[in-house]
Amino acid sequence: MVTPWRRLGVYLDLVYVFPGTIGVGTGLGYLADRWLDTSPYGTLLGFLLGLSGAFWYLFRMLGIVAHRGRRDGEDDGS
Amino acid sequence: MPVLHPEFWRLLSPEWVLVCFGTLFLLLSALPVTRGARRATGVMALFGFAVVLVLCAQTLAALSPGMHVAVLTGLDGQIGLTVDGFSQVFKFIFVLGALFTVLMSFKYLDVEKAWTGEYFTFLTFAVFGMMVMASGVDLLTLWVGLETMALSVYVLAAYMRRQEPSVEGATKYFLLGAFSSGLYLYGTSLIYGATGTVQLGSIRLALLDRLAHGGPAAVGFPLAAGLVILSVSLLFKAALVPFHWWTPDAYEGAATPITAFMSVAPKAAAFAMLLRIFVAGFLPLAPMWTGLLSLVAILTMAWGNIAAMLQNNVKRMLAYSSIAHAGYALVGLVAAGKSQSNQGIAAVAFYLLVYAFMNLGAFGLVLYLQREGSAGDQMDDFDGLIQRSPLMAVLMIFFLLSLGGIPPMAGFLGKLMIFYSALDAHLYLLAVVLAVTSVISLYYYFRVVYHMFLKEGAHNLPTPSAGRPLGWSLALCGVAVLAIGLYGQPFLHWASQAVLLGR
Repeated sequence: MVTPWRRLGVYLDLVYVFPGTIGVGTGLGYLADRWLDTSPYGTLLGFLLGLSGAFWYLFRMLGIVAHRGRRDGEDDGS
Repeated sequence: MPVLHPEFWRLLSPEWVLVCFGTLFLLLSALPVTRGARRATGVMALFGFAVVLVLCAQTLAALSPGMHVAVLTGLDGQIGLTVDGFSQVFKFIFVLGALFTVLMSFKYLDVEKAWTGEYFTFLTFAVFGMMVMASGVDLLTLWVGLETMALSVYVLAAYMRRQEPSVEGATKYFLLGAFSSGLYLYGTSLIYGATGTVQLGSIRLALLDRLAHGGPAAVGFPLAAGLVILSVSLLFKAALVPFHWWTPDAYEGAATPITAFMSVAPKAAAFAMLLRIFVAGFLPLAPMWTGLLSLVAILTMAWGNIAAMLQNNVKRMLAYSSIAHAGYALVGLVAAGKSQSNQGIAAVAFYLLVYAFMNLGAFGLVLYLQREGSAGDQMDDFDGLIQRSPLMAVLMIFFLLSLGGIPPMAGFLGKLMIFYSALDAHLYLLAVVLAVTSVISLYYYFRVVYHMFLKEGAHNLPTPSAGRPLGWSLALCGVAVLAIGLYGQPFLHWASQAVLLGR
């Protein structure tokens, strides 16, 4: 049986992973720009890929939540 | 007060007729009537979309080439909504998609015993939103259209609300869609902050002014970031890599006619909006966004085709295939930006028309195989179809050959137009990737052919029944795919009316 607190943890992850992924992507893009002197293309590409990663994480998390909900439903016999 | 064009009602007749029908369906859905009476709503929807299709054709015929009519001007004197060849061509594609969806829905709703009036209401309002997306010329009007469409499609994706895959797919689609919609507004606010306007024509003038006075460096990071953020939202709606994950789940879970609709009309609407924003508004920044979108197009064509090869569920396979086809259409958009000509725009419009017919046909065949207790979407469901139903097997071959881009089918001509526009814009890498990935796609399309022709079907499988509306829609799609392939000139001329640039 999954406690509500553990379930809350899944959602709380999102608070820092979503913006964090965007930040890391943009940061890496910025560093690439400084290294290769391609400003602002690297930063923009990093930002785009960071956003993509953040969306992928959200999508994956929704799948986890849906499967847990289904499993809990089976556990409850409902 | 906002200013309306003197012929506002006539020019926007497709929109208001559609709204009237949608409202009527909503009122009818509140009545406690029998399933037979609900079926009458379907017939009315069919009639409504047919009327709107005629009105779209009439409005297009009344416009002279390259003419843009401002039908709604805002408080600040900026144009919000326009009627031009571009918007009318795209409206035609949306309505055509909806018309075939209604035809295909009869069998599905009968088998699932899921007739409701709301089904057609949301379909109608979704098409209305798409029309605004094709006609809007400022970022906020476009957003209103986008949301009208998206909210209706979220509901339609979750229409089979007692089936878990439907709810799961729709929830993922909704949450990701809501995030992407927020991003669109965030991008719009950055663009407004940088240029002082949300009207595409004014944005273009502001950009030209900046570039003339300060060169590329004067563009500034906020404006570039605003454009990227805005693009993310549209890449999501058009299901382009890397914002495509929601597609297979949402397509697999949704009712098959709605999946067919989602793969055609909202995708065409997203492309109309992408074209309008990038070509009509951000053309001065083309050197920047063509590079970014070229990368997206390559990834989309490659990933869509590779992932489709691994699928055993035909709906999921067609979902990945639709991702790949969006990549092909994106090549046309990049070509339009690179060569700054209308050729790429016409190629995209033509491709989306052809794609509507071939993809609706392929999904229609999945629907044909649906029976009580089986969605008919597994590869094995196609086993021995040539023995059970030769005509339908031949029609499926038409659609698959067209999707694969084999002559003399319409898909070949569509890809050829995109290919030429890429060559014209010197986008050789994109042209090569398009050709190579098209060849790869043949593997998974021919897998279905192999199942239909060479695999023995189970002996106890019943011969599927199409029903008259689905049969008609499949036959019409088949004829269209062959006719456009053999005699594409009138359709190419029709698509060439989708003009955004002055030359």
